[in-house]
Amino acid sequence: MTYRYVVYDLQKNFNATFDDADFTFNQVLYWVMVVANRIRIQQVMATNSDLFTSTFNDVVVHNDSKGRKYIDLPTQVMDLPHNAGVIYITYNEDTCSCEGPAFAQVWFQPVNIGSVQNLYGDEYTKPSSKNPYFYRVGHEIDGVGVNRLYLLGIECAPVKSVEIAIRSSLDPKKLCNIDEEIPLPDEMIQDLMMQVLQLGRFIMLMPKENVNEGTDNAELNTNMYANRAVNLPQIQQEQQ
Amino acid sequence: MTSNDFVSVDHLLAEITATINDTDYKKGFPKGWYISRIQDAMQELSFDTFWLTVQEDIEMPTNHQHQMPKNVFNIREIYGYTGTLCNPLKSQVIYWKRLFNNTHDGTGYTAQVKDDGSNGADIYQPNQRTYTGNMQGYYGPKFYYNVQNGLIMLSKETGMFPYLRIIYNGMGVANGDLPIIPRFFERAVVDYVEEKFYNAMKARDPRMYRPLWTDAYQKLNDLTNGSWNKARKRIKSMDSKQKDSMNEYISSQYHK
Repeated sequence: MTYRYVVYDLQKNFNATFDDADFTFNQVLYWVMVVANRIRIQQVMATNSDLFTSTFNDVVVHNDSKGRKYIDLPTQVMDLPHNAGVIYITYNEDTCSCEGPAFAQVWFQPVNIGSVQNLYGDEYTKPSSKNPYFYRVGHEIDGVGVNRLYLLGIECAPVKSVEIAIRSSLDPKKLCNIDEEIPLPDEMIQDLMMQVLQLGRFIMLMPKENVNEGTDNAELNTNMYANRAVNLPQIQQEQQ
Repeated sequence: MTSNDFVSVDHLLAEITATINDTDYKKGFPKGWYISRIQDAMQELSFDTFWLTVQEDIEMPTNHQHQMPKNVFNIREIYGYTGTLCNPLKSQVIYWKRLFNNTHDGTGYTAQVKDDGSNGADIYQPNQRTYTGNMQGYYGPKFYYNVQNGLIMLSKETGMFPYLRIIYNGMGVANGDLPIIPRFFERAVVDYVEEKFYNAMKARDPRMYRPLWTDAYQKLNDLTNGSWNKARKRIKSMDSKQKDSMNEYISSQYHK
């Protein structure tokens, strides 16, 4: 099912119900992607399938200003418990393909940044090139927005790139072609449409008095607010 | 029972993580945590069953004191021997002497009962005389040792042997090395790690994990069918050949 098909259908339904409203195509398209992201996470939690898995074979490893190794996430990742949105990170080299792919042998394990020190307390969990970890810094570094995975245990290993598999979210900014398939199972399209319609209906049902229509020229009636400005002179007189 | 068949850590992890639904190690415990618990299990089984023996051959220390190595406990046997380190010729059992504490090469020492008669005048310690080969009565062995704080202290006479062989019980491998797991301990180790996992998860979600932990605890520690007790019984049971030899020995001893 393509974006075009679903969005036009939704837009038509909205306009049929709220004929005065101006639902733009882009607005509905945005709602579709917002709801689709939610459904994708629910679907992963329910099925643990790899339907939304993306792999990247050559993600470059950088060093930050302190010499710590990291990679930039190639796309937005589902925020699942224990960094489960990152399925695996492994060395970008199949050293012994007879034993299966590289990610079946050594993979970077997830850890919360606050628990990193705990890893070094046990000989078996201590990060090393054979037992590497990653932690995520997903917001800012020195006030600059980042979306990084830092790599632990390869401080002294010459690793130039890694292979990564992630469960990705949809980024509305990156949609270039509305004739692409919506990345959801077909049976979930109905849920998607229902939730988008519900979202639109909720917006249209907002109380009228809370909507600024832009046609009312009357002065603001301050008596409806229990503000100090109305009562202040009387209080001052009482004090005098 | 004796065996020379072992299971790999990965073999155990494959079962454990499938049972507790953590095959992708995304429940907050890294793979190393599970291996560490496996090593814990082997360590506890070592303390409970003495299944692992470790042999150490050394040159006789000049000060008659030897520090016990890491990862061992419980001395089982000590011998002094001649020949070479790899080829003992004449050997002598070295016995344990209560409250023996040497200082240098065993010449000077303290002990509750001394074999040189130096505290023979102690009215609380009767029969303390100088034992010599010329005297009538018991001529006790003077090859003995004692241990304090992991330091094996040997008597002066043991110095006549150039080498020592000490057999300990081992605690498993050193922390950080891959654990060695005999196949007949597999069930106990798997159940032990599962119990530890649910025990740790209890703190995160008591309502979900407490009943699971209870089940795992019972499966491990049940006195009749618990895997831990089964493992203890297995390692302490005799080999069939041992039983057979013992039966032959007992049945024939009155006919010799």
